[in-house]
Order: sequence, then C-alpha cells, then structure tokens
Amino acid sequence: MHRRKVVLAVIFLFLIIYSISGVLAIGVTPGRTTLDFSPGLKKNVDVTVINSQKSDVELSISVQGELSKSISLKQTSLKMKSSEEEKKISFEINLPEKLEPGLHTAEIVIKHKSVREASGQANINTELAVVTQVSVYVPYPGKYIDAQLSITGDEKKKKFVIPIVNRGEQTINSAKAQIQVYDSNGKHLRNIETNSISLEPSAKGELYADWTVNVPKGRYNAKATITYDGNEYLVEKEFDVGEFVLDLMQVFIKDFRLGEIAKFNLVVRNKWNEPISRAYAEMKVFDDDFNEIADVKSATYDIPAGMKTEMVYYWDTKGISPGLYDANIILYYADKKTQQDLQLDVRSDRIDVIGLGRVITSETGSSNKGLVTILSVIIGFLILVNILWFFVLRKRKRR
Amino acid sequence: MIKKQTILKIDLRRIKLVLLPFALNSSSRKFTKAATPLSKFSVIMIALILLAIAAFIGYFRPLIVSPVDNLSTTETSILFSFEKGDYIVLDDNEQFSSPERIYARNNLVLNLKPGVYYWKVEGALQSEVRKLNIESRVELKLVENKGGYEVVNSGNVPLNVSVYEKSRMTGSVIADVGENVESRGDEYVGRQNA
Repeated sequence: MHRRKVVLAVIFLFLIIYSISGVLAIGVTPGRTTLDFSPGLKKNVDVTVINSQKSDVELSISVQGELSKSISLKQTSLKMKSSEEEKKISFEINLPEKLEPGLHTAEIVIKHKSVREASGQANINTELAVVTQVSVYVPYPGKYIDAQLSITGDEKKKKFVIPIVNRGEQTINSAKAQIQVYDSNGKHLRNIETNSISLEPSAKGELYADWTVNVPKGRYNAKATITYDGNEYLVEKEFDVGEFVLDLMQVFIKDFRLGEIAKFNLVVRNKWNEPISRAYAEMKVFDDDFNEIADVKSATYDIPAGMKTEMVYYWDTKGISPGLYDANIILYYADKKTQQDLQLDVRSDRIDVIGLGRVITSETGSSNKGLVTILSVIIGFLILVNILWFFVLRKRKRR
Repeated sequence: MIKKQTILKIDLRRIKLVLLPFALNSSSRKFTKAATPLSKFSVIMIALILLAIAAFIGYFRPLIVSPVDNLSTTETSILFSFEKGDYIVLDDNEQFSSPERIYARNNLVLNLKPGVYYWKVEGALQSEVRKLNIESRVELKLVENKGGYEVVNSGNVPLNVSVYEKSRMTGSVIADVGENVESRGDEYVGRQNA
C-alpha cells in the first residue's frame, strides 16, 4: 500500500514538473514559395499556420525583406484555439514592372506573442517566430544557367546527374556537359559525356551520364564542364567508389591438436585506395547457450592500399570439447568495425571454419516472370496465326 | 453523299463480321472492295487474342493503392502500397531521366525530402505514373532548459534560426531535421535553410 502511494506521488510530481516546463511551438507550410518574375505580376498565396502546441495562441504576422513593399498582408494577427491544429492565411504579391536580374526575397514572419503566465500554461518569457519565404527569380540578360552535380550509384555503376535551370532571358538551344574524373592525387582518369538538351527561359532540365566503374575503390573528384551555346559553367563534387572497408577473405588453422593453442590465420584485404593503419581482429566464441567462452585479439597491422595481409591470433582450446561453436570475428580499423558471424567445427585434429563468404540467392518472385514469358509466347503465336490466316483468306478470295 | 451512304449500307450487310482495320483503305470505294468476310476461326482467334491481351494486362499490371495521385502533404514518411510490383521508381521529372529504383514487395514506407516526385511501380508491367508533392514545413519548438533554451527543429527541412537578445541579433544556429540545439536568447526566428 505504501509503495503504491510512493509510485502515485512520483507520477504526480512528474506530471507537475512536465506541466510547468515551458514549451513554445509553432509552424508554417510551405516554408518557401518560388516565383519566376513577370512585370506587374499579381498573385495570391495561401500558407498554413500550424498550432504545434495545440493551445490557445495569439500570433502576429508581418513582412520583412527586400520585396516587403510588394507584399500585402490580408491580416496582421491571428488567434488559434487549442482545438485548431492549423489555419490558412493568405497574402498578395504585387511585383513591380522592373527588377534587377537575380534572386529577390521577402519573408512573412509569424510570431508567437510572449504570454508569460497569461494562460497558466505558457510561461516562457520569450518570443518564437517562423518564416515563410517568397523567392522571385528575375532572368539575367542573354544566356545564363544554374546547375548542380549529383552522383549516385554503387561501386559498379555510377550515375552523374546535373539538374540545370535556365535563369537567362534567352532560350538555350544546346546544353551538354563533359565530366572529368580525377583520383585523390589529382590524376585525370576518365572523360564522360552527357546527353544534350535545350531549355526555354525558366525551364528546368537534366543532363546525365552513366559510368561503368573500372577504377579501384576510393575517393574521386568529378568536374563537370557544362557548355551551353558557347558559354561554360563548372560544377564539381567528390564521390566514393565502394566503401572504406577491410574484407575478411579467409580463415585457416594449421597443425591443430585439441587442448593446445590454436593459431588462427586471417587473410584480410584492404579494398580502399589508401593505407589502413592499426587494424586488428577480435574473435569471440560462444557455447550452445550463447555464453562467451573465448575472446581473443590479434596484434595491430598496417595494411597498404589494395593489399592483402595475414593477421594472426591464438585460441587456447584447453577444456574445449569437440563440437560446433558459434563465433564472430570483428575487424577494427580507423573508427570502423566489420563483423563476420561464423561457426567453428572443432575436432580432435582440426578446426573447420563454416560460414565465411557470402551466399548469393536469386530474388524471390521470379515465378511471375516465367508466367509472363509463357503468356507472351502464346499471345505472339496467336497474333502470328491470325496474320497468316488473314493472308491465306485474301489469297483464296482473289482466286 | 447519298451514294456513299448506300455503299456503306451494302458493305455492312455484306461483311457481317469484318475486322475493320484489315479492310480499311484510303477511300470509301476501296474500303468496300477490300472488305473480306472472316471465317469463324478468325473471329475466334481475334477474340482469343483480345482476351489474352486483356487478361495479361489486367493480371500483371501493378495495382497501386496509395498514395493517391497528386497527393500534397507535409509528411515525409510515405506509405507506398501496391500489388503485383517489384520496384518503386521515383524521379523529380515525368521523363524519369535519373530515377531511383527501390526494391519493394507490396508495401514500403519511404522517407522522402520535401519536393515534387513522379513515381510508378514496375513489375512484369509498369503501372501508371503518379505525382506526389511533399511540401516543406518550417516548425520550431522552444523548450526551457537550465536557464537557457533548447531549440528543436520539428519540421521537415533544415532550419536557420536567428537568435536575438533585447532585439539585437546575437547569432544564428543551423538545426537539421529533428535536431536539438541549446541556445540563449529572448527571441528565435526560424526559416528554411538554403
């Protein structure tokens, strides 16, 4: 009974502390409205204010920034009840006849008014505001682009994608890019060409190219030179091929006798294009109840780029019975570790390592594809028969 | 005009079951000449082909359940629910010029950044293309903490938060989505970063 009272008191205390801790919260969506400049453009924009706190709130609304004179608010304050999760507000954008080329912005600021002890709930003596931005792009005279470079894919195939926006007043008839790949020492490796596109003013497009990777794992740099109607634009980005990883290739034990010290030899390969220093291995062995019965470590090794090294550690098998044991080998290097789960089949004169290597399985669900092929063949056959029949019929008719 | 109608009437009566595309020629006169009555076998064959094609498309075309086409939301966790598909294919343009292909079977929740997406499902056949708009949401939470404040970005875009003290800006902090940043000030203004 006493314990129950204590628990209830703790819960009550916790609730009190929680209720008096001050929290203010507010939101707005979307966070940004982007427009392309048009002289004298008038546009009505709706945004949604989010009552994240789900309490009675009073908000003030104001405009600031370069384009503030071009924005008319329909209201400068907003009250929301605790039951109202969100509320729409709107404002009007009236753009001037002329603006300098480039990006012009304004901010609509929605401010949570300070309400210290006003409602008994909010007791923070501070102000919180969120902003929804208005961005207006004015085209540059002539031909002008904005571009970025993104690189996706795995260690076998990379895709270079360059999204381009025509920020100029004129149409771009032809834009394409040449991507040059460099290694970490700045040595030029490859030249890759993208597709070619044309872009109307304010239009967006993508240049892209695939690259079948045929370089060692490591860090590389891609420099893309975009040529558009005689002009050039340069974007560059670093990317990795593969992962910074030590690969455990083989484990073998020579001249073993049960009850003696077993020498484990681990062949590991540095797949990265830079040396990995102070790498070491640890092996943990478990019994049937998954209790740890051994934890052994190797010395540290420095492994040159792209090279194999043999790591060695020892396991004292005194008191170990023949049988199958779960084990894991963990490779530690830099701030990373890779773990390989396996089984040790311990016999009187040898230890077999089971489970090293990867099992390659086909994807499930391929049965559908077989059916598709059969149906495609049947449909194809039926079409062929029908065409033949049609011609035979025509021939007979002519006769 | 009258003549043409007569020809068509005669033709319709003659051909009975005619596969029109086969008989169609450039002029109406040729049309009547080329019209060939079809045997029962041909009719059965055509019906079989049409049935097989309909069954093929109906059975193997991925069926999309959600999200609905043109969905506009501020939620970044989107449940993709479909049948008879193996991959969700996503891109920011309708041409799917640089698509992301995600292996999935029937249902998958994807966390997406705000933006406009075009997506479809690929299996034995391709589904229709649907559009999805994830709108940016700027949301800021302020929690009192040991004499200062913890600024929490509870929206779906990284925020640039300006910190003021006695109406003077004293600094700014960048808060990633879901990140908490400790700060001291009496006014905080959060806006979408970059």
